[in-house]
Amino acid sequence: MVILITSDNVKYVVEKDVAELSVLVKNMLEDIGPSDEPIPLHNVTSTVFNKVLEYCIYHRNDPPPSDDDEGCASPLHKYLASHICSEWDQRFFDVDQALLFDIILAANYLDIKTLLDDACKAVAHLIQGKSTEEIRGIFNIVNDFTPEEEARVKKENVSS
Amino acid sequence: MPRSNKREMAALSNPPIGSGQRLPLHSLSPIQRLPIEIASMIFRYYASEEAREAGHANPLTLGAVCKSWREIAWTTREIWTFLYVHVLLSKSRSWRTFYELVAEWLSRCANRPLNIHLHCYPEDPDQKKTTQYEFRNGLPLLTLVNRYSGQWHALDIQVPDVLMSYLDSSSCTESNLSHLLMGIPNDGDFLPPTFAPRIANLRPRVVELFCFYLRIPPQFLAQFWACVTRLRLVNLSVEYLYTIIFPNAPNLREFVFQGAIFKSNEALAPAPSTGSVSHPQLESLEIEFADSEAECLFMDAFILPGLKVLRISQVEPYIKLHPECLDGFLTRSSCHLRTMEFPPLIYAAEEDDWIDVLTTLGSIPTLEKLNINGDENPLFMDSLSDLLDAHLPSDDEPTPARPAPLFPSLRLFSWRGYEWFPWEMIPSFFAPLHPHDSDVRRPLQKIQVHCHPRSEETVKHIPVDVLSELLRFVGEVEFDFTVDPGSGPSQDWLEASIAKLFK
Repeated sequence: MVILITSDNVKYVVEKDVAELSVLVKNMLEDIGPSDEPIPLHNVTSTVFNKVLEYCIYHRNDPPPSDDDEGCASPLHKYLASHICSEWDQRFFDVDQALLFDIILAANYLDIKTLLDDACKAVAHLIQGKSTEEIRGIFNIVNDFTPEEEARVKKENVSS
Repeated sequence: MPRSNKREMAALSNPPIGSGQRLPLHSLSPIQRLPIEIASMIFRYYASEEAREAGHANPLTLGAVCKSWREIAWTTREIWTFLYVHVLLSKSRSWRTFYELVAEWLSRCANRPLNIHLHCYPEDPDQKKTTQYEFRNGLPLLTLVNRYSGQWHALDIQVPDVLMSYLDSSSCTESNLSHLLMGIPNDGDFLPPTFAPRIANLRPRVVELFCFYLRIPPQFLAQFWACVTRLRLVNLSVEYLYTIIFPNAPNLREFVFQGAIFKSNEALAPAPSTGSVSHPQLESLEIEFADSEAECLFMDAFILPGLKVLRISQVEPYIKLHPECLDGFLTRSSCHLRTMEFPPLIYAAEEDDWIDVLTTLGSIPTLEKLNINGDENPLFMDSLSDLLDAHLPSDDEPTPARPAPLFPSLRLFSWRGYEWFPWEMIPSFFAPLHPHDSDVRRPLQKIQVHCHPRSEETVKHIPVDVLSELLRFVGEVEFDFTVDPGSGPSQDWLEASIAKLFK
């Protein structure tokens, strides 16, 4: 078992194979060696870590991600990799935007590649097929182009 | 400081992705909290191949959202590696702006492999003739695409003939092209035109040619076709295959030939007079004949000993195909077919025609799948039925004329036709393979019959004696008998036939 402490001082006792899905935690455990010393996760709150942990427990037995996914993968592998495959994953990422981006930041900090990839795909899926205006609306983004830039942008999109 | 804490501190100061640089906090958007590298990753997933092909992703849309997104989109090289240009050349537009846009798009991918889809049409897509005006509009696009020939990974180019000759990869020193698809709008000419784009230095693995002959200088032929493993030809002649492609494409494994014609373009490919071309590597052939002469020439001219999958069809059902040609081809090739799919050769009226070709086919010990499409001739199924149990002694013939069982490895039989399928023949599939051992049978897994009645005629129900025979095998073999009248829902004909018994 591994003891992890989130930034809001909530303590988690996690099975080692689950905790080691985080490369950050895995490296730290290797550095510490056998020890009961808790590992602090300064950049992750318990609210976010609950979701991260839920993901890691569900995916603990998945095959490790391959480095050459982009290069030599079969079409089927690429297809699966470009999708959020399971209904479970879809439900998992069906959260409010703030939490979704917190999960991405936590996955990045904890270095959990599959979670980071899947969460980024979930965000990408939100904007696929949407117009510029719709994307701005989804993420509450302000159009900060100058009138000259705006004219150029419009020209590009009309020409395309 | 303990090493673990040092590592953590290092991780905090150097997170795995992102240098800590964030999107500007000029809005309330939570997405602005993400490091730029993660936003870039999201953009790459946004522009996935599937989304692009479905028209659900356009990098220009991302670049139009706000300044920071524009900067990220413009520097995320991967999202610019797919260029889809689909234009009507006669369209009135600011062509100069359009060229600039395409040029910028291509430059943004830096030196990454490019997948380009360039379809340019004249005013009427069915009209081949292109005006000078349309030519002027299209040529700059082609010139831009040519400039990146060293980065072509996949090129799908469909342009009018006057433009095709300007495709030019001569600036490329080392070809990275994997997939080349070339086509011109088909105006129904008797003889597809011939073009000589300067692409002989390419080494594609997959080639698709639509409606024109590729005239590659003879000295480059071997190199151009050398790496091709998959080929698709549409509306080209068998002579071209004989003279130009097969001798130069030793690695070809899969070949789809749609609309195979016999129209000797003697300047390009003289009709073969003597000798056959053998291609031992070819494993899969799907061929659709546009005329009977093409079929005869193909079947006589080629020997394909490595063939495992053969699918034959004709463009129109009235085109006369010749069972004796197919029989000769199969005999000479001595291939170990696993799958055979063909239409009934409807103009072959003599039962012997069927007997010969089915005997040859049935003698192939590896054949596992036999598919018949669009059957209109009862003779075919009658012949098949006679042959399936012809090796067994009967009261009429105590000494069978054919000692060896046919189709000994058959696992799937599939038939698609109209209304008259002879249900009585199905038990023949279950005939024993050996006269003295009734338990050894063909390893059938599925029998599929799909009837599409064309008029008010009703399909005959499965007779009771056949049903009772089928029920013996219902646990071992899947029976998919469907009648689809077109005007209403399709029916499970096994269920319908059983239900009729109890009415």
